[in-house]
Amino acid sequence: MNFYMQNMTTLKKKHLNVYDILKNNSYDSKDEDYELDIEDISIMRSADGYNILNITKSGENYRMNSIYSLEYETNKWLENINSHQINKVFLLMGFGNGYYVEKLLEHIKNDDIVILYEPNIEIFKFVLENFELEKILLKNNLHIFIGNNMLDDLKDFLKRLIYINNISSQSIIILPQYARLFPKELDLFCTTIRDNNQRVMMGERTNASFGKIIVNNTFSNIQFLDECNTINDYNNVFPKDVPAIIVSAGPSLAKNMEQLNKAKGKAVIFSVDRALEQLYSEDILPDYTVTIDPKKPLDFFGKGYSVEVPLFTCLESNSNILKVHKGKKIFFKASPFIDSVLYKIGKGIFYNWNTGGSVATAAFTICVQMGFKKIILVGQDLAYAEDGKTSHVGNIANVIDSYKEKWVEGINGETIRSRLDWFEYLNWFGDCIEACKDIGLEVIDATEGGAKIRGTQIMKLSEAIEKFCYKEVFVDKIEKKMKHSYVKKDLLRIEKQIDKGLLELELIKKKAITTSVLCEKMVKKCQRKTAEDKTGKLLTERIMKANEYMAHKLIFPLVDSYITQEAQLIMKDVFHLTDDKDQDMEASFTYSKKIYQLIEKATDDINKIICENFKRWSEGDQNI
Amino acid sequence: MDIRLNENNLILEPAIDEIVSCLYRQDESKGFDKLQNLLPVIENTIEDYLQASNDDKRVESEKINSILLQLLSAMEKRDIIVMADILKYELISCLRY
Repeated sequence: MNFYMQNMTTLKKKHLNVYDILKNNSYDSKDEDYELDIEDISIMRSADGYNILNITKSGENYRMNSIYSLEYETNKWLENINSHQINKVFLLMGFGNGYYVEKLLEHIKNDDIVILYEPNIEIFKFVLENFELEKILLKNNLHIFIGNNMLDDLKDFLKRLIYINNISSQSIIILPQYARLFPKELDLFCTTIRDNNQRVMMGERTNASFGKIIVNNTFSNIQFLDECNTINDYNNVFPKDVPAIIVSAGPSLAKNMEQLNKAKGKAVIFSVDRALEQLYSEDILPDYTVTIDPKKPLDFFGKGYSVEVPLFTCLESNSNILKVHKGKKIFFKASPFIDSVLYKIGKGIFYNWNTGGSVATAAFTICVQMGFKKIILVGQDLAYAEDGKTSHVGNIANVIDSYKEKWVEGINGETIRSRLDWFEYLNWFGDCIEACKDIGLEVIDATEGGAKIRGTQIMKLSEAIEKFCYKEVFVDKIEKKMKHSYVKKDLLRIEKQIDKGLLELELIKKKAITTSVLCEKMVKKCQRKTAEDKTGKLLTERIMKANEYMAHKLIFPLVDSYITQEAQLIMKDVFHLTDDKDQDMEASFTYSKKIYQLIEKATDDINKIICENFKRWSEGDQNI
Repeated sequence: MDIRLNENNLILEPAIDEIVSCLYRQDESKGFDKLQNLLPVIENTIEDYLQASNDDKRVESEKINSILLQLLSAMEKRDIIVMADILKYELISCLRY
């Protein structure tokens, strides 16, 4: 078997996506994005006996490694590779002849990951034909992406792999000569990594700052489970050929919102919370409204108007908004603990989406889950208005923080000013629309301005209404027929589970106190260098069992959510190691003790919040 | 002359090793800065070498010039691989007496 066949066999076993691309030749070398000017790839022999690559591009030679000593060159390179953190992620651009990759994989720990992007498929093919790569390709912690076509796969992989605990343990490494050979691809590679990091940090900032507020809101909002519906009740209740219109509060909404009255009764109109005021001011009544933000200001919920249309919301949304809202609540997402409680009584809320981070993206997921096959976006600018300053309808200009600026393509191909968070939502929409192609979803962007949303048909709202809004739909009739999701019996069972949760809080508190003491004992043992003796092992086992005990409590996710913000600051340092094992262990137990102290306090706080906010259904009914 | 040549080489070799290490570790700007600082020493060493050399000075001078031109070309292109090879394996061995 020659090198190529042997390597392809291994690729098929371990890297099927890469194998498929090479086998099917599903990359087009005539594609205008493809690098055409690799004129030649050849092999030279280094003085220390290794085959190295020589690449000719645009008439210039690029010797990829030392002609004298590849070993010396690589050993020096490895000196710069820091493998002191645990769970490191190495983002490597360039495969070269594979020698650097092989040595890197030998140098790092098994738990570390190497994500390798080879921008040029011809180079990779040449190396497959001329080098034995089985040892490298069989490594479980190596993930390969080749060519432009796999950049999206790389993006998706990073989304799944990188989260708050390993984001700072990433290392970007560019193999010698790749920066000179492929500057455009290097830029794309770095942008992909940077964008993903921003996405992770944005998500974590949101989660961290909302932890305590979520708990407060949940137990204030739980009263609305009485007489509510859930998204489960809305699966396919509307005819498939009736479109959904999602109205957002972008500056372009002012241009075309008066058209919406023509769609009334022929589409189901969802308004995000912030667009309500504008719609009401023009006597446009949506069919539903959506709010998700646990801290949304009341002024952004139909200021000056009484909002009575049904509200799609979450248990953790701002309780002040749910209190002023006069209509029916439709819960599409429950918070940690309550989610489990509802499933336990057999009435869980089925919602398997990532909300996307904004009320508009959440509204989009709601419409998809409800079964709409056509979604028309209105006011979805995701960019500043033409003046470069106005951020929302009603001529509202948010202060532009130039650090958060991002320039994107507009619907007419021009470059327009946007923001980092809008850019995230823009990518989210593009990815979601792509993922929903299989279910026949069509998305029309009738914003008539703003950023170009990948995968949408762009048209004027009047055209979209004429083309898609022709069948009558009676939302009121459908609403009148809707029975509430939870009856009294369900509510009392929920109440009982919450009481169990209160008992669990006491148990978690006791366990956190004792585990904190165990951690303190381990810190002292580490200082005396006796952490790994028989007693140390027993103590460590007890700590692990305590963790398991707490994690198995139904209410624990709520405690976890409550302490997220403070715990994150502690956890970031846990992943940094020194060369001194005892010092590292001591640091680890010191940080762990702090976490258990946070847990102890959180149980008291949550207990107090539940007792102060939860209005028992049993107290309102003397017959129970 | 021989003593001065040897003294220069004692400075040059470790300094070039340090520059080459920077280049291989992809710490380019540090490598270039160190090379910039070392140029006067390289210049002196070449001068001393040519004076001390028993071989045809024109041939030696041409050989050194060729190496330096290749080094300059590699520096302009930021080709750190070729730069490192020239510094570590060609320039040093050429100037050893």
